[in-house]
Amino acid sequence: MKKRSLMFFLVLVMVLSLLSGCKSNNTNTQTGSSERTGDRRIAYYAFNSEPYIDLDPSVEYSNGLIVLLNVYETLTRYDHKEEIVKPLLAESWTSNDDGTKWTFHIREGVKFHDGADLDAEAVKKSIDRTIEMKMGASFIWDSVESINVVDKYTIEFVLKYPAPIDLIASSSYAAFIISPNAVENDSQWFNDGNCAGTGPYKIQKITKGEEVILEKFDDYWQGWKDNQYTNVIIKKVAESSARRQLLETGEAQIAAAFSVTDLQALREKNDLEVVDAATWRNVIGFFNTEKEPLNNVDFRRALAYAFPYDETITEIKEGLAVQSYGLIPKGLWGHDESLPQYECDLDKAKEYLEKSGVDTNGLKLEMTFTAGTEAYRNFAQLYKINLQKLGIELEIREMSWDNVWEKSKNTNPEDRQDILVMNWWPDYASPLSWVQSLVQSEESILFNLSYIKDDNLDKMVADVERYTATDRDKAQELIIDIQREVIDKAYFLHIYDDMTSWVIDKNFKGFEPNPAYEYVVFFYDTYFEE
Amino acid sequence: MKRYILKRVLLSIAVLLGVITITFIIARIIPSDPAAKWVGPRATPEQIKAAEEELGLNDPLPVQYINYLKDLAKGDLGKSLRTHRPVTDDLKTFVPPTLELVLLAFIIAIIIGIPLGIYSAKKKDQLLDHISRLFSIGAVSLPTFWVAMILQLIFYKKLGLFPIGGRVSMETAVLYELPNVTGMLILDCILTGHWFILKDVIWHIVLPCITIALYPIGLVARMTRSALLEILNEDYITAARSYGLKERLVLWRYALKNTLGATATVVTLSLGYTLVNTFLVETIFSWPGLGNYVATSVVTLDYPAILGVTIFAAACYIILNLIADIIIALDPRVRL
Repeated sequence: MKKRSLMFFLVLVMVLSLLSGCKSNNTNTQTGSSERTGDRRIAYYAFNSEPYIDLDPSVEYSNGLIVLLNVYETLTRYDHKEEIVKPLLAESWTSNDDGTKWTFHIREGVKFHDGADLDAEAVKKSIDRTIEMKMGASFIWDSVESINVVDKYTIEFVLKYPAPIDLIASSSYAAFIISPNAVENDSQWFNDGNCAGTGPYKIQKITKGEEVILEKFDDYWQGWKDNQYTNVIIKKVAESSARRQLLETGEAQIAAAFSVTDLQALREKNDLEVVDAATWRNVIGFFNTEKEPLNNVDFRRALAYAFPYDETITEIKEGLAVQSYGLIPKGLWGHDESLPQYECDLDKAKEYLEKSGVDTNGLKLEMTFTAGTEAYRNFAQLYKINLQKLGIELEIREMSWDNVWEKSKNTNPEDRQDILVMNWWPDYASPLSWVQSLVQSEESILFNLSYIKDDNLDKMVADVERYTATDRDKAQELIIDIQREVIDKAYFLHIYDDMTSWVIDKNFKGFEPNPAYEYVVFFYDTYFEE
Repeated sequence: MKRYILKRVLLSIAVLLGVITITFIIARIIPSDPAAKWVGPRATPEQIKAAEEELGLNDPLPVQYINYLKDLAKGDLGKSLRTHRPVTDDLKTFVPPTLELVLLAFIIAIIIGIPLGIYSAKKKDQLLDHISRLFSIGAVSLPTFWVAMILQLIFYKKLGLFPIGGRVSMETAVLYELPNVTGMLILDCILTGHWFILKDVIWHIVLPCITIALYPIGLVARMTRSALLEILNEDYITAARSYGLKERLVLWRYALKNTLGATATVVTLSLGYTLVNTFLVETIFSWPGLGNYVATSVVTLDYPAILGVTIFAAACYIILNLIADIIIALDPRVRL
């Protein structure tokens, strides 16, 4: 019998060594893809979630922007540093005085992946397709009455009401230009891994829900240089520790969204670089203003003064966030640091509480947010302690986002939560997104989750809509006025503007995070350098 | 025998129908707005109305149920609210990778677990038995996510022997067209003769496979051991021994055969369980399987997907249970 055990052991050892021997044929797995594999240069982006839900550029309204913005292009692109819109597929544009008619001149000599030429007709067909499908973010074109082809390279948008088409056209959703040969195709065609854009990369291969591999489009209109990446892998690597290890071994070039401990460890590495980038994502607490006692403005002010802003930023976010000034985050027009901020001041909170006349005896408030968000959970705990000092019990309820949202839309305001925490970011580079969605009154509730119904504010929002298309300075003034009013009425807890920490391989150059396109790496701008 | 199996099959169908009905009702009771989810978060009321019509949500519940059953009979599980893809397509994509992983893990579990159980029974209360017990209990009780991460740390980070995750390496993914026949890459590579890719695939499956196999190895070893010990005390074993039959013959021919019923039941049931509960292992090893799909569907209340997965899981359990029943029924005593 002893002989047998020995044999068994030997076989086991043999099998194991055979298995690990499998790797010997795969060169460079440890040194990674920054080196060339044949005549290819591969960049690997380890993404924390599914790289896309839908590959149809008219439909996708989720993570897919990280893929689609490398494959398709839009008429314009927003430059967050200069805070202006820049030409991309459109070379120039003009609008009439009341912002209801926009004329775009389309770039000549641009080819689609399928060989078709870009012209005004192609642009019209693409945007018409998106509008007709009515999926995803197609609502960004709601203002459009008709799109007319003026000549081969000139297109005209006629609007029902004034709207900033130059900004809308830079959106990361629903603004992509598709080849005229593909506009007739249904979503299935795109989801089978086909693509027909003008972007620098084509889709080479997809694994549903997991991975997208891109390859360079040889005829890209901006041309190619030798040290750019020929192939790009965008792969879901859900675990923070796995992303960390992939970067440490040099297998992946870029990743974001790390746990605090992983990020700390990565900051110590010499061959990696950490870039802390501002985002347009801000975390907001919504007070249920339709429910006792939160319908009392002084009570809301008391709650706003009780929130631990500083602790949240220094202790919980470890400095990777800044306290919000009103609704509009930094880097976007309409942001104003002269707006008042609430600070954590329990004496003031008590003052306002007294003024409100609310009896806190046995008062219980319910706070809801999406389960699993560590930062929310932690600041909610701190907030709970502060509120206890005011005699208010805070009940923290973590649920799936769908449940949070269902509850907030309950027809009876009494059955809704008292405070809801979520984050918000714009669909395109405009502060309108916040005021339209969160402040403007709604017939059926969507995102106005403080349930604000204020005629004066509604009028101001309508004015902003008009002036955004015609007089951006005036629009900016109005946006600031709206925020001042909203802060005074304490409709929201303006908690923080979030930041994203990117970890990048030292040899992966040219990457610049743009808050207008969150989590997007424009791989065409990146290159390899020793 | 035939009658026995027929009875079992009919009973299975009844159980499956029950599962479908209950899940369907629960899915409709949950407060949720499927139409709003279908058209996206910022849809207009008209869009939502159109979606309600399209999804047949305006029909009375019994009509919806009958329609669902009708579609189901055609193999149509409806469309996922989140991905807008037919759930059947999604299952076809996500089941094979998980099936590949889990089946391989269970084959390993049987190959290692049964001999381990036999040896421990034979050497009861000796060193080997203690080691095996320690290993089995450890294998059953260690949390899988911990094991997975430790394996990654040792075999990827420290030793560089195995990859951290995924099904194939980056180079293979970029340079080669992967074979796709069954969706199970090992099988596909063998069927199409892609030996180079096969090596890469096996290299990638080792760590997740070990992680999943640990639990059933422990389970099978413990089950085999206890069943065997019980049987070794039976009179007919004493009789066999007193006839002077060789110990090996007694153990492997007479005793082991009688333990298989219990082990088969345990293995098949835990196989069914593992199929839809590989979420943690799949997440950690970036394995594009069913576990992730299940988790996302549940979190986003994507009820057609939840229903589809539930029916799939129930069907798996029932079929596996049937197989276990049939294996046991090979023993004439059961049929009496």
